[in-house]
Amino acid sequence: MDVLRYAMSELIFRRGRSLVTAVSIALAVLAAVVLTALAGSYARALRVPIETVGADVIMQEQGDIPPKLEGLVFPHPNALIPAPVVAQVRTMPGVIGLTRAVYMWDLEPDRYESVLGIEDTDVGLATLGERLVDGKPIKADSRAVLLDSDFAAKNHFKVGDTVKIGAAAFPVAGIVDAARTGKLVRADVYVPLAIAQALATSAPEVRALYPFGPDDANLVLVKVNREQLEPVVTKITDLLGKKGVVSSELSMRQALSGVMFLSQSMGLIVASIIGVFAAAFVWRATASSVAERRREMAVLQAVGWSWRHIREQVLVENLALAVVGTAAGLVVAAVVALALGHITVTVDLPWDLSSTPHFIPSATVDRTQVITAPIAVSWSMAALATLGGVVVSALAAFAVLALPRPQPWSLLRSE
Amino acid sequence: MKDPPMDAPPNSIAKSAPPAGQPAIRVDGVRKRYGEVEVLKGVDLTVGAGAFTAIMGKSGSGKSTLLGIIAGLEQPDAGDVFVMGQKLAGTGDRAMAELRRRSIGIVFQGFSLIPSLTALDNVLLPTFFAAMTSAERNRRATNLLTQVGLGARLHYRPAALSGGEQQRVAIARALMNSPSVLLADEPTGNLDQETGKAVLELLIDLGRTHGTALLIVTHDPDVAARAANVVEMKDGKVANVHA
Repeated sequence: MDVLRYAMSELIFRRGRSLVTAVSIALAVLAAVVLTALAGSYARALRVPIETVGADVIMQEQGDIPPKLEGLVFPHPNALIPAPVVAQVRTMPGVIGLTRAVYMWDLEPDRYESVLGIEDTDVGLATLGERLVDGKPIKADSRAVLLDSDFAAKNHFKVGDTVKIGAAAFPVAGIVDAARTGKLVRADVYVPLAIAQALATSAPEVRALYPFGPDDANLVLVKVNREQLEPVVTKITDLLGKKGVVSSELSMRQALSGVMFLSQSMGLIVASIIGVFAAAFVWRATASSVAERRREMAVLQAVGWSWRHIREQVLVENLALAVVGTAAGLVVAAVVALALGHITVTVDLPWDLSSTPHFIPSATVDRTQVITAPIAVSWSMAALATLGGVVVSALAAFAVLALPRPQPWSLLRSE
Repeated sequence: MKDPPMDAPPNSIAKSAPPAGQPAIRVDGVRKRYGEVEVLKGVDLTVGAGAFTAIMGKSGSGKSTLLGIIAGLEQPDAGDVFVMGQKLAGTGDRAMAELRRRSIGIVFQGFSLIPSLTALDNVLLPTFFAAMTSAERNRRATNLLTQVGLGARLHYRPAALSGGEQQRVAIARALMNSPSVLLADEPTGNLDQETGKAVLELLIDLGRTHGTALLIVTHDPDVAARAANVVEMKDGKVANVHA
């Protein structure tokens, strides 16, 4: 307690130096916490478009343009993904779940529609069921379809009507508001996967390009353990080869790298540089404080303090500064995060994932998505910054007091 | 300056006594060299328990160096020093600190108070790591400061005290651990004559009251005149000892 009181007296007595040292620690903590919070928000924003699909990775393969743009065709970025390839992905370490889909355009002389056949999983038909605005959901064995609400409104469809896909007709079971949560993996008409597979298998323009079988797909949504996202993406990319299109948070980040300077690693690098400067300043401040107090330390030795006691005293003073500095840094960081609230990022959606043919004039769509992500202070980064401040301050005390020390009497003698 | 009130000494800290038949301080053949200059050339000295001894000599005679070596704050090149029967040579930092904490009080010419601490906290410094309760330590420090006439200035920082008052605080601090040996290096050197005289009286009185061996390094013949023994140093040697 005496040591703490002495430390406080000393820090208040040399308040200028104490303040500057604490502020340098606070700035480093502030930079580390705020920059990583911003970087974390950017990272979260980039995940949003794909996360709203319900997956972490979207698998596609680029193919060829059909000889004739009529009837049911596969869009250029949605070539055949054979069932054995899907099976390999399913067994990859880190893959939690997988949803197959068949995505097609139905190009008729008098109409156009995009059709998505998808499995009955949490990411597939079940999700569509949650976005139902009218009618009822469909299941894997249904012979009915769901319509996108915009498409239904534009074409005056309602529940109970019949919609044609290719030459076949299907009753409308329900209408869904798929736009509510994003722009990816959207279609005008949603059908169970088996129906889409059957339609694709018999479609001449599909068969002209691909040996599409009844169990194949041309779009696969993969849920991944986030910690293993990078290796899984690498493996899928290797598996699909040069024509593979693997969309994920990572590809989104790459696409934005030109304008987004605050990546997670960049935030850490900037914070680390500030941290190194702060550490150097703390060391310098401790060294000059100890140099100024050599005589005082000799007095302490003269009144019965060992060097260990003196080291503990300087350590307590530095730790007190570290506590004050990190606390101030954390408080300011929390205030800054609160004041900023959120970031707004405009994400360019990959062309490959566009649900609308670019050659249809009326189908021109905005392929950007404006995403707001909250800025949240990471507790682990706050803890790490606090630990860093404490460790740097403690090391500075030890390092400075490990330097050679003069004989105390040379500082105290009268002559 | 008015003499301070002299109360009975606070007895919270047990004073260590030298082993039977041993002096409080014994210096045997101590030598010390700074570069080319040999400051001490084989000094022998004995200070009895409770005795008041003054060391006199011209500047550069080695008297301050000798005091620093006795305090264990300077290392001799040769010879042995015993304080309260304990040989200083080979004593580690912790054990030396413990010896100073238990047995040695030191008063410096330049007061050497910690500027950030109050008078009371400066006096408490030697007992920061002592096995005493906070209340005991505060009571003892307050009593000592009252004895040296600073009972009303417990919470003053050194900068707010006069030179004489600062030296009184330093004396109270030196007596805080109830030392068996009190070493003073020109304790009146920075004070005017009247204040210096008062401080000297205080040192002698408190030393006597506390039963402490007092070893003072001084230029001042008036100080030496009060000592039971006067050691004259010349060119790094003890030239004369007057009883």
